[in-house]
Amino acid sequence: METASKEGELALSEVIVVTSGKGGVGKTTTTANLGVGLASQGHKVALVDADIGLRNLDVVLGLENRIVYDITDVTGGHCRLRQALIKDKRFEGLFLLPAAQTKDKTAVSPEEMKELCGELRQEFEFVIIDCPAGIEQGFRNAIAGADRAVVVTTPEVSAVRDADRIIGLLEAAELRDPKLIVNRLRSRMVRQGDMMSIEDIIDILAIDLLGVVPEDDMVVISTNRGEAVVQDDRSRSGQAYRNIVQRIKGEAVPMMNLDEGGLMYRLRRMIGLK
Amino acid sequence: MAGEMVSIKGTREGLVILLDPSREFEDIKQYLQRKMDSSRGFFKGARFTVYQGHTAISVRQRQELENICRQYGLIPSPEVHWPPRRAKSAAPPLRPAAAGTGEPAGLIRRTLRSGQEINCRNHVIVAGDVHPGAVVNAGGNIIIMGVCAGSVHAGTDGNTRARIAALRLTPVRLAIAGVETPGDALPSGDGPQTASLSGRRIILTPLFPGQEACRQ
Repeated sequence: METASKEGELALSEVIVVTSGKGGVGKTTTTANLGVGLASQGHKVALVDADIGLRNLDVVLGLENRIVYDITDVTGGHCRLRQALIKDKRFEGLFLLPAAQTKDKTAVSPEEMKELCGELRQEFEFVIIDCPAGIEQGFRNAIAGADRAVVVTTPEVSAVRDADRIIGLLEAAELRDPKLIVNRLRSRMVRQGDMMSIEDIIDILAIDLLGVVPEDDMVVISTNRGEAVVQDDRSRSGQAYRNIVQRIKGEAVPMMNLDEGGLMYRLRRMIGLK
Repeated sequence: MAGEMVSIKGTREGLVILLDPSREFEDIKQYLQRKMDSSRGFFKGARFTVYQGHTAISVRQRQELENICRQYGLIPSPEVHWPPRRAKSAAPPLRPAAAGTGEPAGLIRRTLRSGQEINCRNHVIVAGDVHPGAVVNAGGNIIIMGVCAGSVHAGTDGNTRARIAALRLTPVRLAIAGVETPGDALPSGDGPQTASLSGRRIILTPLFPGQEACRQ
């Protein structure tokens, strides 16, 4: 996939907010992986960290020591958008707009976010916003300029309940048909009946599934290295994120078989069939 | 709504106070107070209604807003509708029933998710599910054409003949006319059921004739 011509990009550009309600379910990891996944296919992507005061998307991307300006400098008019955007080390088309660490969520208003997203839309094919946990001002800021929403949840009752609340709020804010990512699924526990299954979750939330990411040590390992697991060709979570990236682009990709640790799976891996 | 937290529209029947669903209730309240303050006397004597649309505010919060308006001489009126004279409103306040027989009922054509609340003086029909954490309070019957897993209270004004029906009844709270179902007696969702009041006890009956008897 080649980068489309400048004119072609404008019409196609999309602002996607990654949200969850509950904290710690993997919004930032998902944002980083979607960004890296799309950029590695030659798309121009801007990642926006809307978690003002608790920024961490920069760390996950390994760009923490390059920050000069942040999102509040842009909305406050202290610098131009271009100056605050940090270019990724590895991918040509990947940029990060970091959050401020010393301010709080009230430092930006929904109107300012809308304007900012409008400006980013001119330059980028995909603008992905990492939403903070919660349903307060930070959430309202993050969704203000978005066209689409991706809701991340884990197979836990508390996370699913919060996702339900978030979907309701997104619908009230005219962000219809959010898509669901179920993160950290352990298929062995599901088989034993100790964890909610995908069917259970879809049954409760009644929205379309964008993808399922299995629990995988590689996510932690690559995050600590400042890399995204989506680059790792051998990890299952990486494959899951690559599939999600394809689906974001509108391609139909079948859901992967999640039976991790199954005998056939291990055998096939051993003989190199992945 | 062009960034306005509260906008006031005039209709033939009176004023409609529209709320921006993306704002916090406290902000809306303060804004309304200021707006009324700055137009002191102008709206006096006008009939009005608060149209909440998809805004998730409770009955009490709604009353707070109405009370602010009352202080400035406005008169709350259920006769004022929004959108004006168009039969489309999916959320309360409700239109009176069309001419003929029957009683007024509110039709909710969506799934109610956690944190969403419907408060209505009439019957309520939900064409969708009621999720855990969602609340339906109705003066009359509640009919849920889906799964009821939230909190439901029918006959809130003391109507002991009110009923609650759902295709699957697994609520976290079920009450009729102020009578609560004890936690251990809450229905567990054995097929379509109706809950009604028998004396001071809530009983469950199958919704459809011929359906297998269910636990009471």
